Amino acid sequence: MSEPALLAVQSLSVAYRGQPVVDGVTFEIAPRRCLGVIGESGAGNTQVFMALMGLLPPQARMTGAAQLAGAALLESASQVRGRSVAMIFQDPMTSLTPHLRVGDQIAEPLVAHRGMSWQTARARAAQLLEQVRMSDAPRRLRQYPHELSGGMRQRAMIAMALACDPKLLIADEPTTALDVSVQAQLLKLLRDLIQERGMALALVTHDMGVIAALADDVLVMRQGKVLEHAPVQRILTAPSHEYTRALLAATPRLEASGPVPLAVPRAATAPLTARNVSVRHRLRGGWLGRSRWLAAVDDVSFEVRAGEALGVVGESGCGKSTLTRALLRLGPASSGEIVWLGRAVQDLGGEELRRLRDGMQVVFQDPFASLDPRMRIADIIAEPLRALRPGLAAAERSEKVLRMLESVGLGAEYAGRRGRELSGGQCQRVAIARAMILEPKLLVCDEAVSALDVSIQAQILELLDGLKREHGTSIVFVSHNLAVVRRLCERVMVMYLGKVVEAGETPAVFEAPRHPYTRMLLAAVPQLDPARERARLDALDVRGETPSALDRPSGCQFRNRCPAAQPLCATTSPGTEDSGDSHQVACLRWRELTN
Amino acid sequence: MSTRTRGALIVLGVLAGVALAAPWLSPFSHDTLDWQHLASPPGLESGHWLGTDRLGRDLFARGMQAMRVSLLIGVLAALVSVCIGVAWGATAGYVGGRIDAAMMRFVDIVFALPYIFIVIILSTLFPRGSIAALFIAIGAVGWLTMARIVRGQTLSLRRREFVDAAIASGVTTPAILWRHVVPNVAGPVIAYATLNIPQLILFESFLSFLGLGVQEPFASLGSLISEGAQEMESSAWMLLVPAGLLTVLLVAFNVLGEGLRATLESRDE
Amino acid sequence: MLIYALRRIAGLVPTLFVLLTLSFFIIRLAPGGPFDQEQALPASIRANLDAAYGLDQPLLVQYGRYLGGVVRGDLGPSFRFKDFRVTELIAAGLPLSLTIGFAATLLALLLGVPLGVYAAWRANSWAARALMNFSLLGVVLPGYVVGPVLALVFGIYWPLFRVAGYEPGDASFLVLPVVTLALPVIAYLAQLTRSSMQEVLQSNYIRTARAKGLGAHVLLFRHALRPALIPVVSYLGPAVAFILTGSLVVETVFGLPGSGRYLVQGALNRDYTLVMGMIIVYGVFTLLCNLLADLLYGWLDPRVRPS
Repeated sequence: MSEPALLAVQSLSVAYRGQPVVDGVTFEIAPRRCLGVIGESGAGNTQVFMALMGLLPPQARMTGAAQLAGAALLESASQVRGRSVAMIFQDPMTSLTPHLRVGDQIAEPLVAHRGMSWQTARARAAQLLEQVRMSDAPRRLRQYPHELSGGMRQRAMIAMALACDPKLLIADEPTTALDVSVQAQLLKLLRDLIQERGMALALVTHDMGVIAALADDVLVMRQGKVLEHAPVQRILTAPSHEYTRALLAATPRLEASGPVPLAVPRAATAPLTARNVSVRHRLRGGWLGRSRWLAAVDDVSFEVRAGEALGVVGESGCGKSTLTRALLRLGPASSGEIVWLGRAVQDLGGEELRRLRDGMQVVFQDPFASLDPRMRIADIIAEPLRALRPGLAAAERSEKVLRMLESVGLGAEYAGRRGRELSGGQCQRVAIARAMILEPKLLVCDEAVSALDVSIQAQILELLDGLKREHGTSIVFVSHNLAVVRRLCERVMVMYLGKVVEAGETPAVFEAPRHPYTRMLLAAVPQLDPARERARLDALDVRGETPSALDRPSGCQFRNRCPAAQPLCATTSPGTEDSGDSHQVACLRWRELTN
Repeated sequence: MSTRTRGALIVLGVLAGVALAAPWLSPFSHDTLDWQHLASPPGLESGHWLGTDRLGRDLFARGMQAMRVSLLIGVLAALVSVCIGVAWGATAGYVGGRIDAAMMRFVDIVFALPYIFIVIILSTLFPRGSIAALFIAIGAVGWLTMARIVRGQTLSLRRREFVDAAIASGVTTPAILWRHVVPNVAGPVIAYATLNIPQLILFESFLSFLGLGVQEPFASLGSLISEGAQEMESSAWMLLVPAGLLTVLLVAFNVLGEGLRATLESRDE
Repeated sequence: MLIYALRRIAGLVPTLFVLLTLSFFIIRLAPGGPFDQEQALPASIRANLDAAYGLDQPLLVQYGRYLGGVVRGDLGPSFRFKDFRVTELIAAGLPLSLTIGFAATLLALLLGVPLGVYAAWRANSWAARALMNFSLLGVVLPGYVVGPVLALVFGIYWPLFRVAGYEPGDASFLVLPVVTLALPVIAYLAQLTRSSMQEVLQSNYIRTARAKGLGAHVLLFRHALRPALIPVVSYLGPAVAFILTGSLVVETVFGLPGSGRYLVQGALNRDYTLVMGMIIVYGVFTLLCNLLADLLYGWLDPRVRPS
């Protein structure tokens, strides 16, 4: 590098009560370059930058040295925080002070560090909001954080960080909690900002796609140590460390080939059929207002075939979680027909419904919350047997439990442990074991791998794949991650604001999408090739955010974000049309747009 | 358990033990009148280790008897409030919806009224000195916070996926409540019940202080304090002995309860 | 915001109504009447007394007449203090009780909250720890223990204040009663504020504020204080109720002619109207304070405000 380093770190170590979380980390960041620091949970990448910013809790023990533009950093971090170095964090929902207006929070560093008057600072804040492409900026100034969406809050955070023109911006998992389309917009924004302002960016993430989008150099960390440090091109195409290679191999890719639907279905009866399912919530209108009905799920119909996986994709607010609960008869009541193994269950209740439950099982997103913290693993897995196979003798039951544990890759020694003692991936295996012990025909996975590290995620997907192949279990796989769905599912269904906008065989939908929203989603997924990724960001045309369910556009719900919207789309609601090959789409203009 | 909590447990054990054993430890009973030692200060030669009151009654014996009463009422009332509170709160929290709203509204209304109203109203309903009135008054107040806590815990449990997983596994509702909800709520309930005891004891002694609780010849720590306050200029020990006993009792229970709560919270992390 | 406040005030009326009705009927259902405790009266005189006070009418009629009186501001005659109307009795003692109560609340807020904030900010200092141990004691000790002990120490052994024979206008006499009353609330507020502040200081938005390079003062007072005060405000309602009842004790212990004693004496003497009057007064106060707490809550946390 020709210029002297902006940030130089030597042998930084951080330990809590003798346990190191950062171990001898050394690196440099040059001006106007972006360093991506990638690691899974426990890698210590966040801790490195918290230490540099002086934000560690008092019980942390820190050693090593660091310099910012030549000046010693570690002890004097409090003097440069918010000025030459700024940091934005992962969780926009809780990272803004709830009782202060957004504009004031952005103006604050200007008043504190540049001695501006509040009036001047607020005016500057308005300019900053424009720079971060916040919609309706003047209005946002006077709003409170809870009135903004996640994407908007993150933009406000970025504006706050940029207020005093820092030379280095540290971004800790800035897009992790956000929808794919919002993530794409923010990545593009960050890239443009660092080019315009000539800033350096330190980006902490667990997502290779984000690395490919923004990083010039990459630091790979694991358990506090730096394993590899190289330019991004080399890391992504020819990494030297085997951990990096494993990480890349485990990352699911959109372009990779996935399973193809079976020509002949395994069984005659489809395990699950849904016809015109809707879930409506009633909203009370205050004192005298009439109550309105909010459709979280709106007229959804589909069929899952035996031995196949159906992916349900969509962003927040699309209703996929509500749909899964309706399908399992767990949540609020729904209208329409739900058929389990040929039996209509939407009107059943109590004992009748309970007895049928052995055909349908579920795995949830949060591995720890789905296990009762006080129960032993063996009892957790045995519970469905005790409830629905009461005739089974205790000895037989234990045997089944142990065999189940083995088949999910956990040894018998786990039987006596409790959920607290297991890792996320292990808990999820237990959850799968519990779900499979009744040998159900259908397994519903609600974001079952979203909370797991990439390498663990790959293992669980393997496991689920095995269930499909060996037991002929059908899977309904709900996810916001398109690449994962590609990996596992033969068919896919795309949802937006409660409606299905496109459905069909996965290769067809992903390679030749017919609905503008599907196209937008696919365009928003980061690629793992830096050159293609930058080109993608340049060409990105993702607009707006998912509107609130209370504020739906008339006619086609997607129209105010759709690049192909016409006046017709505002007046007519599109119905589902068959475009051949069991590929369905709900768009008024799909024919014209396909050619 | 931290040393402080352990210490509190030991202190409580000793106090309770002495209070229960008092009839055998002291030659006097709580209502024996010693004409030779009217209102005499604590001393060893007179045999009255903690002195006597205006009527010559031994303060050690009376104090221990009062302690027995307070402990009994405190623990029993706490048990009652646990039973009612857990049943009320768990039902409201698990069932949810309108029933939950109605049940908690009731709690809110009763909670908003100063408990003195309930006491006063009850004291007019029952004859003076009725233990039943005492119990109802204390019980009417004690279970409210417990219900709120249990409901909160149940609500957050209900949302956690393992309850849904249990339903999906075909477990019946009573089985879920018994096997999943109650064991997970038990921890906080025990901690808060222990913290509740001193409040109930305080309440009882407040009633006795006002003249509405335990009646002659029985004593409660509150009534002893009331008597002692009247004599405090001449015989300070008559105030300080029961006040001291009450303080130690309450502090020990509070420390124990706080310790239990801290242990539970750290275990749930 | 104003409409919200008015709506909430209007909501108080039904609660008050329920309180009144319940109290009325329960008290009347109690065995024994206001004149039972005097010597056995000849039946004719008894009948006359009953008629004079309207006690011979059916219960519902009595209820109706009572309600009518309340609306007009007349709380009826005291059955025990036969020359006085309840309104007069209460009015005689209320100012003193209110003064003590208000002073105690103010003292508690001015001392308890800052102490709690300090204990949270300098969490591991010996001062903070001593504070918390002290507050443990303060929370536990009841007024009728602390009051006499304080009177003993500061009135008799080391006479700084007078503790016997209250005369109206004697402010120094009120110091000990106010302190006695405020002590448990100070202690509890300190504990509450401290744990609330500690929690707030761990939150993500405080981390963001630190990352912005803001100074400790700004952090504490602009960002952390308001959310930390939320549980404190929620406690205000019960706190005032506590002080109201505590004033009973303090008035008894220090021999102050406030209105608190009327409640207890009224109950013991079956003086229906007096008890009802006190319940109304206390009820109104409690509900008003709860309302105030609610409104303050809205100011502290914008998420709660109706949009």
